[in-house]
Amino acid sequence: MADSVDIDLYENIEEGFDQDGEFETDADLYNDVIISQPSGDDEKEGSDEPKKNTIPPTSVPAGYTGRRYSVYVGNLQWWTTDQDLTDALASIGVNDLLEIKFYENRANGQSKGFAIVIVKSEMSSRAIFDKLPRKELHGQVPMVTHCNKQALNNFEAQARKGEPPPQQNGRQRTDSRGDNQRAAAPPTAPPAVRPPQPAIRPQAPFAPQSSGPVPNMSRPPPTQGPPPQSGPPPNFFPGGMPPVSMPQMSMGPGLPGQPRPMGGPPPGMPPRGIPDPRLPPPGMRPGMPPAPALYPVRGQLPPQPVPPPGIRGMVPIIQGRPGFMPGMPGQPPPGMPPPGHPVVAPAPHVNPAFFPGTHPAVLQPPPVSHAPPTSDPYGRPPPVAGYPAPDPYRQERRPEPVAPALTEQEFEEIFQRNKTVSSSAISRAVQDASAGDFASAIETLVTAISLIKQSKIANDDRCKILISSLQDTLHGIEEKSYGSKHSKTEISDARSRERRSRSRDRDREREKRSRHRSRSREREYRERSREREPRREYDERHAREPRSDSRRDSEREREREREYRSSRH
Amino acid sequence: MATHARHGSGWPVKRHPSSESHAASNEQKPGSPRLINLYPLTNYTFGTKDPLYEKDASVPARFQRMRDEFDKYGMRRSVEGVLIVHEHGLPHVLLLQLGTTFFKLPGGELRQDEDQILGLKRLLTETLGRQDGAAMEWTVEETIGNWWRPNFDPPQYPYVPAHITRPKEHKKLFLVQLPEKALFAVPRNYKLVAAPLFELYDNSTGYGPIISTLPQTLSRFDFNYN
Repeated sequence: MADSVDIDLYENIEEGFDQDGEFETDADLYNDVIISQPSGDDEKEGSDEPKKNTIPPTSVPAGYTGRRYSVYVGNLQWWTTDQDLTDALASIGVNDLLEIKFYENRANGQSKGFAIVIVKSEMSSRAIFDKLPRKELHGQVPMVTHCNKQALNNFEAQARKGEPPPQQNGRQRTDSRGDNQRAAAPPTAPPAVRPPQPAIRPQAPFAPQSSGPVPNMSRPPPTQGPPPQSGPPPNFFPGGMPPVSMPQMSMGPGLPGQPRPMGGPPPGMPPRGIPDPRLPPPGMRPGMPPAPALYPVRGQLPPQPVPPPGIRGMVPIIQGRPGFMPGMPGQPPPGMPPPGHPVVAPAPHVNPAFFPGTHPAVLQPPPVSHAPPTSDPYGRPPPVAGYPAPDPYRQERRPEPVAPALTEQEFEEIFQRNKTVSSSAISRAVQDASAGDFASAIETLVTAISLIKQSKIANDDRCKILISSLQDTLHGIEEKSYGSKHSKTEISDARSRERRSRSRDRDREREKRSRHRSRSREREYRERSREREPRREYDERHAREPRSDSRRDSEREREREREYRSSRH
Repeated sequence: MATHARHGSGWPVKRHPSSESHAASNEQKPGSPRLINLYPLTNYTFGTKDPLYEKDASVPARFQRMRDEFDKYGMRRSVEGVLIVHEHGLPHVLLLQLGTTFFKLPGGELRQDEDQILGLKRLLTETLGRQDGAAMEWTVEETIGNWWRPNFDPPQYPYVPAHITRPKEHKKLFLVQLPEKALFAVPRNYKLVAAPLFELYDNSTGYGPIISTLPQTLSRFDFNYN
């Protein structure tokens, strides 16, 4: 009989059976990938013909010196992987793929639905242009464009608005607010997820459902998820929200976990666009009634034309409410419960129209189509369960677009613009000055300085550097202009004046900086966002440390630390 | 068919007796949080030892090494230990402070094919172990978190984003139960601080997403304040 050999299958378990250990979970998930990784040959581009096409390359091999041809591929679902894209390209006949890099939301890592694809040959890139749009990836037709800024902006905008809201919870909303025409833009706060949104960030308006972000809800409303998703993708809710999705959305988030299914008259909701988390579908959802008290929006929100921009955006709204912290590590706002259950029910659908900040409109029934970004309406409405009016959600507080809310992308854009402005201004001014036309040179510089100061990121240290270099040039030219007017004997005076003015300038800089610092420190305390802007950390650090006299040295050290820290984090 | 008579329930049989060997208070049913014993900070002595420098001199160097190693060995596996003490009835997490503003948990990278728990113990001993080489008693309780880095960039997330098939780094956090008394030697280039949970809570700008969410992660445990 088999047992004669008494095999004890478990005889080595004495030490305890550690389910977690031994890399098992990793192995489960990444078996194919990881196990084949160590061999390393998969990664080498071109080294292993058979494998090459199966592993999506993530970075151009270090030794590659050939030409690179890049294209943007967009209009993808946020769950479309690099493997999917690689396979699709392979089926088109593109075998010289170098790299695929997705654009993601930094705050939560979600894909923005577009990527840059780099291939080795122009033929491949042409093939991509021609044939890829004929294929379908997860129900969507990829859009292929050349790599230029315009296309990038388009994709970014698309990501913010329609496509599953890439934005993360509200925190980033402010920036989108600035950009989106859609007033409601605020990031697609997790559509529908609203109520317990906080965790839900789900972008795709439907996503919430499927992604089940509903943290509050005991479980993700998967029910709604899948169906809506495939349907009119959250992208672009034309004129508001795709009714189709809406109904679902409302049902979804609300349903699971919520004591009362939001089910409400979804149809009604749709027009409202993504139900603002805060706005409990006015009367639509059952159970909402109590909510209304909580959510400012109660009323019928007139269908906001705004497509659910980032669901996340919605989240912030909730915040206003009972301390709902959308972005926060998931905790459904304790405040919510006041009504006894996550009242949040507000339209499970993310009401695109209601993005944090834009809500103000939400409050009143008349949907002011793009509610002004101020989040006052929501600013912690009293009903809020007293969630510590967390500042973390900037939206609330910020009436002005506020720089901190900028996405990195925008920040970079603005910064590049400023840099260009300043360098061209300096060169023009120097030219003018050498030609003797000091007045126009000075004017050029002054204009440039004020332009930069007015920009959203004027507080950033890099911009301050730009401004100070402009000012130095300005002073130099001024001095020169005075010097040339007066006799040459005054040149030495001019020079010493220059020196003095420069040091004055530096002092002024320091003062300005400390002012900025204290201002930003305040803001820091008020808003705690997940956005890891180096500036913020830098400021924070500055705030913590007293300004030392050897500013430069400590500054260098701080730069290093900041870089270190921000990269670590 | 005849089954092994002694294996009544089947699987895993020997587990129960061994799990009993944990503190007697650990008689929870599966699923209920473990009881963790915390001892006051004063029970521990902290000495110093030679500096332990990081492998990478700068941030770009760090990512460059990550890229190179990824090509050779695949995803980097890191482990970090959460060591907890208590003061005033509140758990404090031990963190290593680098410079003035940068904090990290003790731990590091595993070698290829190295076991996670053993690797963590090795790293803890390297970082905080006594200079005289005496054995340290690290009791690695359980995994309390997983974080993945989808690209060669700073952001890490507690999940793998849907569009990522090959994360570049996987970091596992373990709860480490400290012995009742111990001597730690802290490398001179670090400071060891005990951060109370409220200091970390909601402070991701100060500590990053992983450390600042430790209070939530640890909330499921029952702590026994000795």
